[in-house]
Amino acid sequence: MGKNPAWTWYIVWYFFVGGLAAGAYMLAAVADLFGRREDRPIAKLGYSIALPLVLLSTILLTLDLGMPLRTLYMFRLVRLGSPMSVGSWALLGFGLASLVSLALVLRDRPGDLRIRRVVAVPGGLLGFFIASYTGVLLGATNRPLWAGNDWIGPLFLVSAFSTGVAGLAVLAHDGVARLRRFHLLAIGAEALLLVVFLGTLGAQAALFLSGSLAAVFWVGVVVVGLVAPFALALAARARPLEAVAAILVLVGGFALRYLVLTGGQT
Amino acid sequence: MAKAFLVDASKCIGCRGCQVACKQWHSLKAEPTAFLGSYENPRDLSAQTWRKVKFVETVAQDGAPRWRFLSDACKHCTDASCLAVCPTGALFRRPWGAVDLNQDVCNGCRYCVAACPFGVVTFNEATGRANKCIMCPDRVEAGLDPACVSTCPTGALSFGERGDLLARAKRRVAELRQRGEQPRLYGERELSGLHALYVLQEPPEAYGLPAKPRFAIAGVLPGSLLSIAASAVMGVAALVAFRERRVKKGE
Repeated sequence: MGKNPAWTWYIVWYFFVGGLAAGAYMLAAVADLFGRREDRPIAKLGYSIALPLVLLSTILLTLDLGMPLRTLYMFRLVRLGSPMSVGSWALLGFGLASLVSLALVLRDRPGDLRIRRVVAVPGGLLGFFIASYTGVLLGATNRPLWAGNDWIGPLFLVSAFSTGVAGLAVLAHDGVARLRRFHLLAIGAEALLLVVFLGTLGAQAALFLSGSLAAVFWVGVVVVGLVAPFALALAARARPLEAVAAILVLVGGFALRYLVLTGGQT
Repeated sequence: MAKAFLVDASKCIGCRGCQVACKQWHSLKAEPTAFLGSYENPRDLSAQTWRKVKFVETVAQDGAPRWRFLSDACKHCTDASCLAVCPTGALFRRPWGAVDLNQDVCNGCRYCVAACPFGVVTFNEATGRANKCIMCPDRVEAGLDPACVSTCPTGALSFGERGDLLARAKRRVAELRQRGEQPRLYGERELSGLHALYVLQEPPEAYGLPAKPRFAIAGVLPGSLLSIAASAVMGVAALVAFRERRVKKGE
């Protein structure tokens, strides 16, 4: 086993914030590419969430490294075998795409939508990458819980979508009722992947089910992040409840990142 | 040709000369420690201890205690996890086999620390960078043995062409077997071949060596494919969410 890398709060926040940025951008990109005129506010809001959060991500990662200028060393080489190397380049590209998309949506001149759609394709694909590579990165270590696990990437990806919808739902004036069914599906898929993930852990799953992280798992991830918002979204369409459900999803998404990161370092 | 260490545990007397020589050559500091219930000290390889002697107490079948020693350091794996995951290129391969670490390029991301299957690579809090045994490239490229090897009084540690050492290790294993021991050769095939070969008198686990060390990036492909599959499902679902309404309005 490798030694403990001490990836603590900065990295927990980065995993959450980066996933949220990617989720918001991916939804905005789909809205731009396939939605209608009345979906434009969703696109605008999605890009507005993505850009500041990407900037925050780079700040968090730089703080974690502790040597600000050396963050640039991530861009000395492209190392295709290293998820962190590819992830750094992807984050750079995703940041640029977020910047251009947001600039275009704010300028909103005739014809800008067409350029936005062109940017949304690579930007959205990079969003998928940013949402999931952190999980693949953890699998490519020799730490307990993470080593060789193939399901953390998909789990983080679905959670990124879920928190992305939640971010939009919290900030949109009239909510995002049109994404209600999609959000139910995302929460359901996340629950399913969580079960698969626990199944692959075997005896190590006890850390979550009954061990030192049981409170975070049962309360933070299962009840607050999955069951409660699913029930709320299923039962009520009213705006205040939608916002409450969305906030619960965000808290649950953060708890999930904390759980997985801490789980491999205890 | 690839160079390697040969660690013959059956010849080690636990003098820790290698441990001290390494510290002196690389100007590594002493570290605060405590009595651990054994002569072994410090507990782990660290940023200031790149080679150390493990003291292992076992009980033989006849009930007699056995005291085993093992001089342990970085294994300079062929499938080196630390090197594979390093995003900056600070970790790099010398043409003669060593996995070296360039302090000027390391940015302290600690991915190598989490990736090493042997728990060798350590984050140095003082410098904000990683540390591990680098196989004394300054000495080796000047035709000398690594510091640890040159100080070993019993021949437990040797250095040279990997092919020669492998043949020697196999001869030694056969010799020990004739004496009624159950020796094991470690490092011939592990991780496509380690650049540190071990003649062990106990199973690898007894010395804290994993029986089947795992290459950290072995799971990147399946993990990526599953992530892509999940992306496709969620992407299509999002697309449907935006198109569904269009169909309804058209009705």
